[in-house]
Amino acid sequence: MHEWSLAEGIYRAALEFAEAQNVKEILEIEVGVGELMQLDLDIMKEAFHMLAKGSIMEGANIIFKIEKAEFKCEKCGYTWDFETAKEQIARNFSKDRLIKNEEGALDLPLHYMPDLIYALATCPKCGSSNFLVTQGREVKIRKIVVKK
Amino acid sequence: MSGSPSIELAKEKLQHIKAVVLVGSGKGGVGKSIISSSIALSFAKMGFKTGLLDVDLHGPSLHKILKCKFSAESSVRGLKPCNAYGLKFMSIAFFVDEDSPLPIRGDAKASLARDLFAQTDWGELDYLVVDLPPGTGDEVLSILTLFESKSSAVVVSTPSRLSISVVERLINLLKRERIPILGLIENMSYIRYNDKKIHLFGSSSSRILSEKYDIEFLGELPLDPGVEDAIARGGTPLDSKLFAMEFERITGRIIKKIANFPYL
Repeated sequence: MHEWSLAEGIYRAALEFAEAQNVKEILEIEVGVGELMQLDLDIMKEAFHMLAKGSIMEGANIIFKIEKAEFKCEKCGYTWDFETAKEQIARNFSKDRLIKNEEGALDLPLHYMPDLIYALATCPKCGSSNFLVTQGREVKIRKIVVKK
Repeated sequence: MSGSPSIELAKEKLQHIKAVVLVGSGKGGVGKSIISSSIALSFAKMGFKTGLLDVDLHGPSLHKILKCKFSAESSVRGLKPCNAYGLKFMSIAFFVDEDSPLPIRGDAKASLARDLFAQTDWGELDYLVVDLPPGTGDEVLSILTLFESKSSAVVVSTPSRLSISVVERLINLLKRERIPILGLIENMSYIRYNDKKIHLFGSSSSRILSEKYDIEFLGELPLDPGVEDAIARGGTPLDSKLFAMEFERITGRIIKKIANFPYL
């Protein structure tokens, strides 16, 4: 499941930060989560706490802040949300390209590579591929609270 | 700290790979994908654990050469790469319909190229061969930075003077980014007729280029219809006798050169 590898990425990034800053303990990590990746935050949280066991971030509070995805067409100026984009992708996407995880659940490849949205979606109004994802594309650590 | 779990994930995956060989040309249409797949296939044939990553995001073609069928499965270690001829292979082509355009935007190309690597379960590899896209855009810069500590590059050119000027830009970029250049391969260099080599485009401009930049000239490859035939028949470029014979020498030189790198 992708959530586990992302949780590991968060853990590693925080550890690298702590080592560079000579931090003794990490108390809180705030993570911005782009809606595009459709992540299960409960699994992410559980994975993070398991990875953090025995480390300087054991028991740290991990806060996920969902960032809604927004799209804007560069050709006609239309803006839309992820629900609209998802409906469009579901209509057009070949089912045999959905990714099956170990538990048998099927995910859009966006779950792993959110930037694939540019290849999978078009403007719902004019049909152009020339659109921007103005927000909600990535997962990024926003804040780390530490004890020095 | 990058702050990006995806970058950290990529770094972690890289720890399990001994060396990365980047294959680039700067220009499209020089047969770079044939060469990168042949390098990877040769490594695998020699018994090395080898991966091949197609970063040509706008025009992936390696899956056609390898005739790879993606399983569309993942585990906690990532997306399962396609296994072909002993290689682990990943491409953006697996996630979109065959005839779909790939209008990926600038900064998205950089992160998509990185994610394609980071989200794949490569396991332990001796070599990861990366087929770079034409040009020196966002995804190329992203890949050069990501693999910097373990990478070296093979540059592909043709005898055409048009190709040479673009290739020079790539060489200069690689030098600027401190990526060691293993050498230069000239593709479509000649045709063979009655055991004679006929250089259709005159003398080799690539040799002049390799001298100018003090880069090893790894060899010249023929314009060989046998390569297309071999692929069409369900085989690989190395199933063409003429091509394979020349390529064996090139691979030998690459392996010899790479063995001297400190990260191996």
